Amino acid sequence: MSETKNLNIEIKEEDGISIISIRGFLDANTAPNLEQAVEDIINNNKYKIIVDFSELDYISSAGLGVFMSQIETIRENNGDLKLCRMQSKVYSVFELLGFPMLFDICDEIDQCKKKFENG
Amino acid sequence: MLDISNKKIQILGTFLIVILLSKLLLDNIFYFINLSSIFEITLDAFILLSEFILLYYIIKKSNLDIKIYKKYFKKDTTSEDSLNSKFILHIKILKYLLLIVYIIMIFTPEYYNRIYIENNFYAKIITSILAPIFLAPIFYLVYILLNRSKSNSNTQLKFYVLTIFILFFHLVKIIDYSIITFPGYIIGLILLITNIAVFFISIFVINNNHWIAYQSKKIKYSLILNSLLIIFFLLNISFSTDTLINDYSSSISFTYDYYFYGLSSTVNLISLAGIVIFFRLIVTSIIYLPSSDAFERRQNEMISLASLNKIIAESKDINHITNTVTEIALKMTSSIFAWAEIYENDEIVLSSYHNTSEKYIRQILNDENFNKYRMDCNTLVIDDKVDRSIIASNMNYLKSMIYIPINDDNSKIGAICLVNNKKYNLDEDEYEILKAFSINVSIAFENVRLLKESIENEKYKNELLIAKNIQQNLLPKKVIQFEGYNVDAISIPADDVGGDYYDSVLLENGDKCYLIGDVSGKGIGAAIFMAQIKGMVMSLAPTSTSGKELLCKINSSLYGNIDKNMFVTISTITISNKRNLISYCRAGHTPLAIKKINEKIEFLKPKGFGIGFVNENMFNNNLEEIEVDLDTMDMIFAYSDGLNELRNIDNNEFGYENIRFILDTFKFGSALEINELFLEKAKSYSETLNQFDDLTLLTIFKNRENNE
Repeated sequence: MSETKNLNIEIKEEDGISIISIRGFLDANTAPNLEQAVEDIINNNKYKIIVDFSELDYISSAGLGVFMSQIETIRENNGDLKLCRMQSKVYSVFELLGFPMLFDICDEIDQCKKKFENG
Repeated sequence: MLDISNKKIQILGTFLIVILLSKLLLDNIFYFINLSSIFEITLDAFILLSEFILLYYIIKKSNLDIKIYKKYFKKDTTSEDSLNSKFILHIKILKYLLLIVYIIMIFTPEYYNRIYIENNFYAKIITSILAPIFLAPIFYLVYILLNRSKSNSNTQLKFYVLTIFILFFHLVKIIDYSIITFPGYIIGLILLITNIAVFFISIFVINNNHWIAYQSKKIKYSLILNSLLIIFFLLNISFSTDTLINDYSSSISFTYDYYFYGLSSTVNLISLAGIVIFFRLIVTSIIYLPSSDAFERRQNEMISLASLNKIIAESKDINHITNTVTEIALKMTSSIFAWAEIYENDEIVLSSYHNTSEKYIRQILNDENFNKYRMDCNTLVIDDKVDRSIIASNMNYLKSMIYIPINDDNSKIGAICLVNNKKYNLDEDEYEILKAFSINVSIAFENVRLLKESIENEKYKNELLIAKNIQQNLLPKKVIQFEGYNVDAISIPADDVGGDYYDSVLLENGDKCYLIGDVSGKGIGAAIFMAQIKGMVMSLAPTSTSGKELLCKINSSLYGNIDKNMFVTISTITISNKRNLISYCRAGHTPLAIKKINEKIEFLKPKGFGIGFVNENMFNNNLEEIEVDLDTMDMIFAYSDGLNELRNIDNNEFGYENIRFILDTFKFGSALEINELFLEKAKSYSETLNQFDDLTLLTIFKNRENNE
């Protein structure tokens, strides 16, 4: 159990929206990497971000903190952080903490994109 | 020095004085009545024997030689070495004893011999005093040789043969004097044969002189000098007389013979043996003299390596190591000066220097060409012909240098530099020793680093242990119990300390509030956060009337005051005193499992944000507190995500289904029993319970007795 599980982060740009695909394990050890990635995007003055969870196997409570840390800055700049394609296990963790009330959580990337278009 | 109180010495001393006095008395009577000399000889032999025994005891019992030995040779030596050192010391003492006798001999005019003969009475007294003094070095010589021969049975045998020859001749002399007078040529022949025998046996008496090879040059010179002096004294004292024709040309031989007939010949023979043995010693010393330098250098190297190992074992400080190591290297290589440099961020930092001034070394370290030359050396370099062009202008005398790199973790962190104004000309062995030295120095440095790290680690571990104790004290040993219910809680951190939390508090209205919580992350950070939460619960509970109010207050205090990515999930289970009502409030925590008789296990998941995520308004508006209807024998089970997210070897989660199943199959028991059951199941699920996350369980069981 103690072996380190990795988190792979891929970032691509589509229609002015940054899409972060995360794969693997999001916990206290790997969270700073994702936090850095999000920060880098914000530092480039891009505030429309979608996180693709489709290949994320596990998320721990510390991993959840990442999404909270930047959301204020993003929203202050008329942007948003939208989450999509979560496995049910991952979703339930978000759900327990009340995230669905804070974030748009969609099934597909396109849905998130549409939400950005609609404002 | 000498223990006079020793009984044996006292008895012997008294005995000696009594015999001496009686001999003086008898001698004078003999002088007048001219009795046969055999009687006289017997008495003489008695005195001589008792004197010998007394002398032997004095030498043996006195720790004289040991004390001087300690003073002279303070350095630690092996037992074999100390035996040799003792021998060298004995030689020195023997020299002084002989010197005393020699001086007495010189200052005693020959005509005293006549006085002795003419004035028998006083002659006897003077002889009785002088003879033991004259005998002392001879006896000491025998003592040394006896001691020396002890180590080897072969040598001892030769020594005994030698003794027999000498005693045999002495016996012949006595017989000649007292019983039958042999013709002079017979005595002469026997003496010649004995002398030749003693000479040849003496050559081989002490065969093993190899120890001299290992002595320093200084000791070899002292051996040669002392032996020469001893031979000189022995020749003068013993051979100044031709005892064969009884022509006493010196007072000393006369004294011997006058004291005890034939003694001078015996002394001569012993002296002959001594002369031969010491002559051999001189020859051996001279033979080994040229190799002294090599031996000394090798010995220095060995001592250096030994002391280096000591430093490695003891040192905790880098500067101390470089200082000592540089000094050792300097001695080992006989360089003119040396310094140690440490490389820090492309800079050369002078660590220590020997035989030179700091200013001078700093000048050298400022020379770029020379620095570059040294930086290019990555292994042990012995350059006996340093390129002129790279040497600093003020170092023109420099002919050769040795560069000993210091490595830590396979990278060069510094070096010891030795310079010389002549070639080092090291042979292969010396190169190997230097190489070993270089490796040892690196090991010393690595050890210091590892030691520091392990000390840090140990310190950290201790602090962690303290933190663990503190945290365990933060969790109540026993949660509040009250009639009708059975409550039990347990928490096991994944690391030494954890971020899980449980507690039981009384609210403002006296309601009992049970809390279970989980702060984000784990380890020390989580533990500190958890302690903060505990403090808040303690201070806010007495002013809260419900679990929800308590959680809202905690969120209000925390929000904006903690890192945005930190949060805590807490569930409260409040049992009201008055209405016997149970309410449940969940701030992001795992759903509460509830087991009702004859019903399916249910997971309650009322709305609620994790604490610290959102502002007061949003939090309060979205936090639900629901009422739970609990009948007798019903049970509620709260847990941290360490349980449902526990993974087995196949990386499958324990999940809610396992919780449901265990609760379903559990028939009846106390809250403690259900917690223990879960722990056991968790352990067998993960096989080792090498937990991934903190694990906390809180069970509330409604007892049968509690019928409203």
